[in-house]
Amino acid sequence: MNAMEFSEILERCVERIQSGESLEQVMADYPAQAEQLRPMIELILELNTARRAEIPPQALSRSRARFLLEAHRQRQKSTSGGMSWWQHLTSIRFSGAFVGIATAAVLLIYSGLASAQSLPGDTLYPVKLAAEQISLNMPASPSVSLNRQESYDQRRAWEVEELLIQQREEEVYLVGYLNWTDADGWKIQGLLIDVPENLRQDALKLVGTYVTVHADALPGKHLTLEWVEARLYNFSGKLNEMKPDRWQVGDVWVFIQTDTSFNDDPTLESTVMVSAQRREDGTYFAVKIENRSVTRKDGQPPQVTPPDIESEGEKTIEDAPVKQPTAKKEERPEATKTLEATPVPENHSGEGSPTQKPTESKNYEERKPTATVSPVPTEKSDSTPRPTQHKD
Amino acid sequence: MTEKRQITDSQSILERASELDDQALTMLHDQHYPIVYRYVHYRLEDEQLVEDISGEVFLRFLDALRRKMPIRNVRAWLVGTAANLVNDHLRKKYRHPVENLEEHEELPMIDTPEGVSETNDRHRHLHGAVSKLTSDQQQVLTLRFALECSVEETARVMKRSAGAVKVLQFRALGALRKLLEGGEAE
Repeated sequence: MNAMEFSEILERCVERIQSGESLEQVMADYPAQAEQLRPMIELILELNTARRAEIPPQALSRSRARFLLEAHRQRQKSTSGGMSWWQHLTSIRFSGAFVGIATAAVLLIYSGLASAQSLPGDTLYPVKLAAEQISLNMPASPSVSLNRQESYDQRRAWEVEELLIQQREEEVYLVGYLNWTDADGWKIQGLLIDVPENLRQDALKLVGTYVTVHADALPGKHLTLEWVEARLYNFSGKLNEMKPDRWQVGDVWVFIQTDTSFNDDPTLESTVMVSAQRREDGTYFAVKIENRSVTRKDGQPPQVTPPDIESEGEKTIEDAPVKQPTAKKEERPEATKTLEATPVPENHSGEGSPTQKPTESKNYEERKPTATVSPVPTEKSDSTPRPTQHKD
Repeated sequence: MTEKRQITDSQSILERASELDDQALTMLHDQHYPIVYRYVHYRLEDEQLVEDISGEVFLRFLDALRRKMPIRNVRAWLVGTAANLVNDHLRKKYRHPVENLEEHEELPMIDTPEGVSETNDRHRHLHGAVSKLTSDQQQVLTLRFALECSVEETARVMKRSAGAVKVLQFRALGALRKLLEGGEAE
């Protein structure tokens, strides 16, 4: 029997075993070849079970963020490529005001491209952030908006890595999952971060959750934490479906917790604004849901109430400001909120376990940069998320 | 008002992805990332390297989409690219064909929470032997038995006929068995 014939028999045996037959059943049909076949098939079974890697959700998120960021960069290049902007403008008759606005927009695009590689502390860095903000403000479904936000969060991590490589000293903002292990200590986005003693209690409560940190990047050292708080995502959309433990807002499913707060009783088809926390597995848990559809007193159909930008700094995901890393500690991003300390179940499974409810800080700028919470029992860090709370 | 797109077939998704539509790109990425990651993870043990190479696969995919390269089967294309990147990495790192490698000694230990179990010992022993095969042999075993790809799919990825894949897997299993019996994996 030649190799081709034997390999055909082997393949047939593999197919039968994969369809549920036992090794003995299959071997019974090939007594002449069993001696050679059996060890091979046993090897195949072992190969099947070996190295069944679990996909780390963070790896998936990081890859997706990088992927979408690159796509965004490619799109930016293609919108500004081809005919030069001046040629384009002069080929068409426009009013002077329109030309002025268009020129400013194009200049912003070009400076955005030039700023794409800038880092915190660079002159063009604010331009980079402005370009990101424009992208976030562009109409998109909640899922696309959330993905953009994720990709820009990832960009912050790369910037910090670059700063550390260049050994530059800068204050940085970083968004990611806060982790702690005996082996590595504190990490966020895979970067080691030193957590001062006075912030450890706060940090412990946030292990396993998506957080915003303000830290110092110091040459030759790890990041040093200045403050940390839970990162909330805000997005709005139509309430399409309501299941007992999760609702679909636009094209995003968000888990409902026992202490999710509501300003009104949203109904299907109503437009809602969601503030949600993101877990390590990529799921979102609603902290607060606001019904933005208002029933008129004259009995007319409900109207959508535009978000009140003045109230508590809440914004839609499209309006959510990108982190504004500056040297001034009071200029913190507005999209994040502080949370009250509430009891958290021990067996947090990531399936809608109740955690926090938000505390809106009415005067955002008055917050002190260091997050503090009420004392909690000392325990080993686990993935149970706990909120931070500011002391005034 | 945000637009909600209903993408119902793979061709439509691919077309939208080639226009750099975020929604289509996200769908493709999330759908195929697991198999790419598992493939690379099966060939390499360094977690960071696995993540880097897996991410690089998708950046190359993006480049192919942007250049409107014809991709008939996304999964086969991605896994094929992953295989090339892994092989490139191993070639650069060791400067020899895979069959001459003694890389199992240099691979990082698999982290286990409570020490090395007997099962992990066996798997590491097996993986050490696999890493000594040629890159084609490694690839066919990874695709066929670790990722449970069909013969046809494996043939597409490896750009060979189905018959050639069957023969290759037979020879790979034979070589692997010899390595394990001869103790050359350690």
